[in-house]
Amino acid sequence: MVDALLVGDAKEIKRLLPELGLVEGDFQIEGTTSGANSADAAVRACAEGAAHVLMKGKIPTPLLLKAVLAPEGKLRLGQTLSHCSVLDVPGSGRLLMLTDGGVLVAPDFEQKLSIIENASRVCVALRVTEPRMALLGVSDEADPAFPATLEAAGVARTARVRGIAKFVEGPLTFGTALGGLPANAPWESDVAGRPDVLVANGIEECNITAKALINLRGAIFMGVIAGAKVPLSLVSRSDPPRNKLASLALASLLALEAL
Amino acid sequence: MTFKELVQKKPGTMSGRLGLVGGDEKILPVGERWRRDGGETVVFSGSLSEATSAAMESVAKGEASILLFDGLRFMDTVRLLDESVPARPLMVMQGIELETYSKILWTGIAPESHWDNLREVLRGLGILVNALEILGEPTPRVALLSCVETISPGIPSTVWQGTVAQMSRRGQLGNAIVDGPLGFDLAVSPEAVRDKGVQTSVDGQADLLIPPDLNTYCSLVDALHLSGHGSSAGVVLGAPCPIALPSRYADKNDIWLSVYTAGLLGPKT
Repeated sequence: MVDALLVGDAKEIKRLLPELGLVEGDFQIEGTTSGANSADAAVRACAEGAAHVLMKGKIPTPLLLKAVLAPEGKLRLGQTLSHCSVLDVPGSGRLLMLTDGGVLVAPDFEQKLSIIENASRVCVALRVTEPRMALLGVSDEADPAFPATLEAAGVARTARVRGIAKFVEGPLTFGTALGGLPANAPWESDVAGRPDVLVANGIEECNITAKALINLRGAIFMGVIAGAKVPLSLVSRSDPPRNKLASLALASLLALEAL
Repeated sequence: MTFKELVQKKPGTMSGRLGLVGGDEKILPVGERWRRDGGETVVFSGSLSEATSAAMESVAKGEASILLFDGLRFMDTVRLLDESVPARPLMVMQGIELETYSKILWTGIAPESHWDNLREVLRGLGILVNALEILGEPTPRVALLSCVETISPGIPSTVWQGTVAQMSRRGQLGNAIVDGPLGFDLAVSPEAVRDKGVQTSVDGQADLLIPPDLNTYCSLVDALHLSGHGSSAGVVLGAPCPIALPSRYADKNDIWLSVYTAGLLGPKT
């Protein structure tokens, strides 16, 4: 699927490869002395075009993101970075993206538009050219008692007006977004019941909800950060190998779009 | 604790008059079952606001002893109830049984309260833990959910979560085992706890999940309901009478379990 440049403790990498049934000669290895050095070296390789995808290994996410976001790292394009969790939930028959559960803690109005823009790019890489997107809320109505629902309505409208996304709607509860409108709903929706993307209000809502589907529903998870010069494949340390492989595949698809 | 074990217990408030509030027909069969068991029912119809107001008035007069809402408009229902009990913010709690988890997984929050006030957090936590103790879990494991496992000033909820966890470690929260901030995987998966090497007293076996905010509560509960769950029950805590508030996805059995659970908890839980 990919050619790999392995960055880290060279001695440890060389020890592990045969244990995993892999041949050292099939990989480029760049030895480093610390996590920070590894992050800097990997970012440099991507910035120089030596690598087209950056995949997180056993390194703390903040350490890697610090290197990615550093001006001298040259991976930034002046765009907002956001994390997309693409889930294959058994029985659902389609992929479902939740965003952003990994980068922006409490995205503001403009950042939510960037999240939608990044999500659209990931959808295109997955051959979903006109994704249906829902901005999540505690209610299906814009309600002054819950300011986030007002913002969701505003972001949805702005995203449509600016042409960032054709099918975007909010606020919708998670249940309405996935399950469809209640039978007696006085309005129609071209998103409810068939969403490709769910945009959460904040990092906690997205991260916790996605992990609920992964841990209790057996969803296969693909994680990628979009908006940088190269896609970042970002998974959790506790993710099984299938999730890590799927994440790498998604990031590779995104990278191919950019080439 | 499973629902099978729960229904072995004898509810404190499963007699008298059951108030059926809301227009959804799916709550009516539960009323029939209540009458078959010797109780009376009264239907509060009209708009949700009118029906809620009439139901709470009936409770105040000592007429209705337990209420069942249809759960179609969760937030509107909670807000109306909260307005009718102004002295203390209400709590909501949903329990869901999943094929992939060995016991009922409860999730709770105070919908109208902001959890950035430690006093409010502790009050709400106390109500939820007390409810679980009444339901038969003397040492509930409580996970304060987050997207990280460390206290981070950039994610404000992790600060109160870490404080509450420390209070639990020092024995200030009774028998409850409370830990946070915890990622969802560390709350429900012992394997994830092992893989990540995180020391946590919840140990991947949470009885109760406390999300950091209302948005997360709503999305999480919906996600669990849409995950092919078994049985479920929803209740409102802190009202003058037991209140059952099942999910909008609840079937007839779930609605009955909600009433049963509310009855077990009794008034002013």
